[in-house]
Amino acid sequence: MPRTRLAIYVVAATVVAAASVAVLEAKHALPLLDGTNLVAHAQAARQRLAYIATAESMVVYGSRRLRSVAQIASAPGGRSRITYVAGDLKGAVVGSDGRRLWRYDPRARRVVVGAGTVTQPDARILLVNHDVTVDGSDRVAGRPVYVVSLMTRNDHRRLQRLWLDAETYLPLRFETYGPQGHLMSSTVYKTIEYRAPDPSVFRVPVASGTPVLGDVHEPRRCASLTELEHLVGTRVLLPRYVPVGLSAVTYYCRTCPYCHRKSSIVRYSNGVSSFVVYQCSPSCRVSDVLAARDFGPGRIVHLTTSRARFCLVGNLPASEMKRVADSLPR
Amino acid sequence: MKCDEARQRLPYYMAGALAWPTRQRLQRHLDVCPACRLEAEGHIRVIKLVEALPSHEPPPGLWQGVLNRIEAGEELPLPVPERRRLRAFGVPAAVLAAAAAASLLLMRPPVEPVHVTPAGIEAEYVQHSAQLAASDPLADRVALGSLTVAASWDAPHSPQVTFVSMH
Repeated sequence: MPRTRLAIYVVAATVVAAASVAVLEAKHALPLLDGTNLVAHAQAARQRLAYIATAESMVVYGSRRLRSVAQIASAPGGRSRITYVAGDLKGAVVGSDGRRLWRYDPRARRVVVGAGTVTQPDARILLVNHDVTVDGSDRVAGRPVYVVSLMTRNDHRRLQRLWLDAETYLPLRFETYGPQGHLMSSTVYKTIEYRAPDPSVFRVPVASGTPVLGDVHEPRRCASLTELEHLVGTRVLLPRYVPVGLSAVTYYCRTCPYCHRKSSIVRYSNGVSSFVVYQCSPSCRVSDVLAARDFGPGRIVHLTTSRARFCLVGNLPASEMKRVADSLPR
Repeated sequence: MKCDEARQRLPYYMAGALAWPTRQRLQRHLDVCPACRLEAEGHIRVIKLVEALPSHEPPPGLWQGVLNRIEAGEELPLPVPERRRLRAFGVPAAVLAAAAAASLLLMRPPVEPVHVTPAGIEAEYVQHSAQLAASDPLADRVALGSLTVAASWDAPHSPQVTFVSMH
């Protein structure tokens, strides 16, 4: 009898212990959320939150892998500042005051200001064109995170993996994959503080003795294709084939750096994948001898026809880039 | 002193408006930098060109006439003979202005030929497309910023910038 009672006690204790563990696990596990909602929250968090962070980053560029450590300051209104404090880009700064993009070049010791190319991104185009899967939970920068993947709809290929802060939904880690499934870039936040940075950090830095320059080749955004054609003074030729889900999202005009004529830029995007069509005069024959090739996270295709010189840059698979190029009006 | 700084200070150097230590530093740079020396020689040519232009004296009595009118508070149309005299003065003034404008054109630093390499062309497009891609909803802006900066270092057109301001 005592032996039976002992067995009952042991079984009861085991059950209680197992139940306690289950309760504790449930308490610390993240509630299961829909991936689409998570991504929508993540996009909103990027626009809404102010924070200061440090991150380690890697990006493939040609045959190189650029590695850097960056300090990030971000605030609502499209204001941001990324200061590369160590690694291949040490000393460089990329910023936006909410209106203009600027960058400090430590090699030339000058600031180059863009011509108003800051745009407010919209997550809807991304959600309409991709499947979002929740891969689980993890910890980044000491905070609990959801891990989500953005996949193509047609061939279910992973394009991007994001680690989203479980409380704020801010992405704290990014992995971007190329058409072949290789990792093309990654950024991991090491520390993060949710507090407003000093507003002065977003302004174009005009430190004593530093020349501040506007690059004549910086693109100027146009509101429509009509405005772009008006500025360029010629018809903008669009590809007849555009992969499903991609659409023309932005138009820019700029001075061609090689022939100095007005040229057009049309950018197509589905929120993750994109390609840009640069169009210039057919007499601008700078790229006649260039072949299509990969540069790391994307691919460049050159084409000169009787009507225009084109350069396509995008992160679509090579076959799709070729198809788009082949469909440009001859 | 670096070339950028030297070229910014050249006009002040030519005008004798630089402090002595800066002047000395610039002089040392010109001694060793043929490109900046060439630019300095361009400045000197322009100054000589302007100095070589004939000077013109205003017609006698012009200034006194202006003074008289100011004192009288008159706003009368100029009499025809004075208009003619002014026109006669205006022609050489216009010539002088045209010469000055031509001098300014000559003063422009020679455009350095852009050495375009296939890698440089690609870098230029990569720089722009990376900059534009940063506007995508969940773009990795730190990685794209790296790409923008690294590609700008390889791009061939980087010196062609317009002056905005300097503090």
